[in-house]
Amino acid sequence: MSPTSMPAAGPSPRPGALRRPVAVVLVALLVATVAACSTGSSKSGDSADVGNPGNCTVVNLSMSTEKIDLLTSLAQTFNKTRAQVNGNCIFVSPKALASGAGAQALAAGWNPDTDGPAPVIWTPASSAWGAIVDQSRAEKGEPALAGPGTPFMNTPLVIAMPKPMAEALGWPGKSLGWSDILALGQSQTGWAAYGHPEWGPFRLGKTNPNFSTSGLSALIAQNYAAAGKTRDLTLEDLAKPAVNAYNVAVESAVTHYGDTTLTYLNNWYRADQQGTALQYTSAVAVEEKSVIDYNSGNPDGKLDPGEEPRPPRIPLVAIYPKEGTLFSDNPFFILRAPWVTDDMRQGAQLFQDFVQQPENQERVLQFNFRPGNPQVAIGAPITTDNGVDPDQPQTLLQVPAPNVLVDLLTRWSSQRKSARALLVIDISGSMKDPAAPGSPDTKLDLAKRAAIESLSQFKPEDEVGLRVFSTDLGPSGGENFLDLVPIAPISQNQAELTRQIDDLIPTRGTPLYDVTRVSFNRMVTEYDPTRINAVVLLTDGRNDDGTEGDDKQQLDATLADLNKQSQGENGRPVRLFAIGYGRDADLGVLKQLAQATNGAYYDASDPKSITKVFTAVVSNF
Amino acid sequence: MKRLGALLVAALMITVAVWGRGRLDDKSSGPSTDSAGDTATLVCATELQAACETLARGHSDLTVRIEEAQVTLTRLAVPGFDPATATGADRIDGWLVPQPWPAMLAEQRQRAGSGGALLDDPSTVLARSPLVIAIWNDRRDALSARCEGGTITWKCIGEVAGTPWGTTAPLDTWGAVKPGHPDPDQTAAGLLALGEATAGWFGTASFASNDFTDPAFRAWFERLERAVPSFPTPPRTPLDAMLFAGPSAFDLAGSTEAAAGPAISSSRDKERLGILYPAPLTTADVVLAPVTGSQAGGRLMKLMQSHDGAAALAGAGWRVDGQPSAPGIPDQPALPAENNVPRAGVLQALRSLWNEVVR
Repeated sequence: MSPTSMPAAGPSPRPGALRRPVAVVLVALLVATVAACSTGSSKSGDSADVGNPGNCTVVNLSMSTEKIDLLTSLAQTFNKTRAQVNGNCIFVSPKALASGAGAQALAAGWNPDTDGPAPVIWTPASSAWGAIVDQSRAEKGEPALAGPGTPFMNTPLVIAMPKPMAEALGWPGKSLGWSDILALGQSQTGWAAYGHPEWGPFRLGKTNPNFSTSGLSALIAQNYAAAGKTRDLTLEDLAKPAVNAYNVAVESAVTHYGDTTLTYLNNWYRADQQGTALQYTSAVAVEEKSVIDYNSGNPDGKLDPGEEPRPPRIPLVAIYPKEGTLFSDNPFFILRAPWVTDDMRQGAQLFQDFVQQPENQERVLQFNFRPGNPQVAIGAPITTDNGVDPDQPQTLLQVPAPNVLVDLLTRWSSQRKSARALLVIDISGSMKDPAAPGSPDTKLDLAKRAAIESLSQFKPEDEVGLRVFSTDLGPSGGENFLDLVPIAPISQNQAELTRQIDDLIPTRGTPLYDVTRVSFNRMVTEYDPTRINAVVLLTDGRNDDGTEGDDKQQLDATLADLNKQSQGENGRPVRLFAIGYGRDADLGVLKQLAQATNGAYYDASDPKSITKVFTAVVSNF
Repeated sequence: MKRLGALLVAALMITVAVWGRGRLDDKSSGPSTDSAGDTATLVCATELQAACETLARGHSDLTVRIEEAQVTLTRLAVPGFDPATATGADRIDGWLVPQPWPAMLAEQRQRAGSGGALLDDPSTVLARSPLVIAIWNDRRDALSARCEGGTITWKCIGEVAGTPWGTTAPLDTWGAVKPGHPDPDQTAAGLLALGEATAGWFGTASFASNDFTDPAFRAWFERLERAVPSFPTPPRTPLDAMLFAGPSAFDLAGSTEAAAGPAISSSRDKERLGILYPAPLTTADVVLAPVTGSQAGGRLMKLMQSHDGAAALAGAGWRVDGQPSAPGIPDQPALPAENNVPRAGVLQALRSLWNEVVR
């Protein structure tokens, strides 16, 4: 699944609510930010192999990434039926595109050169995206493209907790809610108050609400809880000092943010395998289907070739907040676009009807979603055995008005947990290679621009420093790294960071392991528990410190060191976010290094993607 | 001789009249017998979509268009618009809609000074469906305990709307009381449900728009409507949301029996979702209003009054005399003789009030 693309679901705003001028700002904010990261580490643009359309009328289907396996399978079956419109067979051609990216493309009118084949059917994660697209177009005087969609399956947002932790809070006998979970986040004693000091402080997992719908939904719920309401959240509510203080306290329990819940789930699963799941995170806001995926041993919902699902040692349970939650309803929008012919529209309608048929809705269950057709029972795997409850949720939270959402996001940018990050940038000789064949820009040119641009995404209180690495650096020529800008509040050193990054020039080798270990150890030594502590490492190559024979030994030692210091009861949670830049970057090694710290790695093998990847990386803060 | 001549003339006139009537009847014996091959366009209110689509499948010379009642009304109310001569998407030969939408159109055109009647007199009532309340069984039990005499009425629903269900499990997870009904600004079922709810507060459907100034009514109305979590974009309804997302979406929702009965009886939630018939019971009474001057209007009338028309309506959940009920449509309660729908002008005023309160 790809929660990066999920907009807030649940009840539609009241009629006319989106017509307020502020909706333009909201649209711009949500669409731009979500779309910005959607091509970074997501699976945007995945094409599905459904065969050759021949002479059939092609109905292009653009879907959010978490649905690719399901809808590809359904399209294959549908195409075999040779359904016809006006004597022509219909061929459904699916392609995955993050909801935010799809919304941005449609709002702009869809450019096939950059956005891919123009869709006839668009199915984002939530109906809210359709409203956002149409609102955006209406503000420009353009006709609606989406209109009301037809939901075909759903999944509610839940709070996932390790079962022992939920039981310690009284689950399943006691109704739990955001207020209980978030109050625990503010507790000074943490799990000790529940007889489990070994679990340490309460650690909350939330994704960045500017990028992830799970994160946005959790933020909405958090603010309702802070205001003591379940509906009609107002600007006045958000402005109350008590609400602000509540939010700040809750955010202080967050381990890190990020653009997708998959980072949390994958890290949690790995920690589980190492016996440290309860120390990694106490609760994460995710979709119900993710809980089932996780408990089946498939935390990201997609099995790689040869991978076997192995259930975790400690399963998760889904808490359906007593205050209410939000749904992802996965609508079908048959677009009212100029490129959609009558035959395409009729063909799309046939496929929509096909998907709603009970036998096909049964297949929705196989992917851990709830069927949209009410004639199909919500059965396995939506069962208590899998940590979820088909009789829940019992109430939904109201999606706030657009101006309240904008204010909520604006306030979050200052309420969120502050960061302390060391940017570690590779300036080895290979960074002077062209970014692309014939490109006037070198890889370092693009990386510098992206890094400088990303600085504006930190908040003033965030502390950021700059380290560069290569071989033979320093006055004596014997250093592997240089600290160019000390770690300090970015409000004080942004100009210096910008200048130093801009002045970077490529030099010699790539002492990757040594610099990773030294940089990480420094951040552990200087660990600040009130902040998100992280190393952001950008490299375009493999370890090359002039001594080839000890690479394996060096890597093993580095991994062991990172793992030991960041995990477990006494670990200091410093995260490594590693960016593999260019085709020669050793992604496998970077993945190991990042995962050893419960961080994440990012694939920027196409240098042109570096800006988006930097945006995704900074979403962790 | 004069008398004989008069008799001959009279006989001739009768013969001509009968022949003419026969010709007319030939032309109006249903789209399938139209020798001219013209297609008749029937505009159906959203609530009648299933019945109209059934008819269209069986009559190739019938085109149906599904619209919210308010959309059609607005289109027809435009000064100078003549649906009988319009072409393409604007063509209308007849309007199949619950009462009193034809009267609402006539009243609106009269107020605007838009000229004569656009629609012929509507048919007699073709089908009926009571406005019911779909409610989760556990919510029904809990709500009964809060309503006077244990009887759930719209008046009681409005009094508790938006208040918490309770503070103890499981009521503490139900949130606030969440009523719903279709969008009354656009749909017939929505406005009729709102009329029924208002009649529930006044105890009669014979209320007038000046009664809306009663502060107690106004407070009740605002509480009820502001507690509605959302008004799904038509043709989706709160009942659809209940069937899709369970009790989290709405605790109860107004609906026609035609929409609620079959849908609930075939759903996964049939054991935990039921139907209430509030008092005073309002019914949606379906009529066909042919467009004045439309040559196909008569044909449509004949079709709707034929067995095909009746069967299509009954099959879609509407109660039609002499037709078997669709699955999920009970024989009881018997429907009241009167439809208990407020007058056309009062319904328009109620719609305006709703817009004032909700938007």
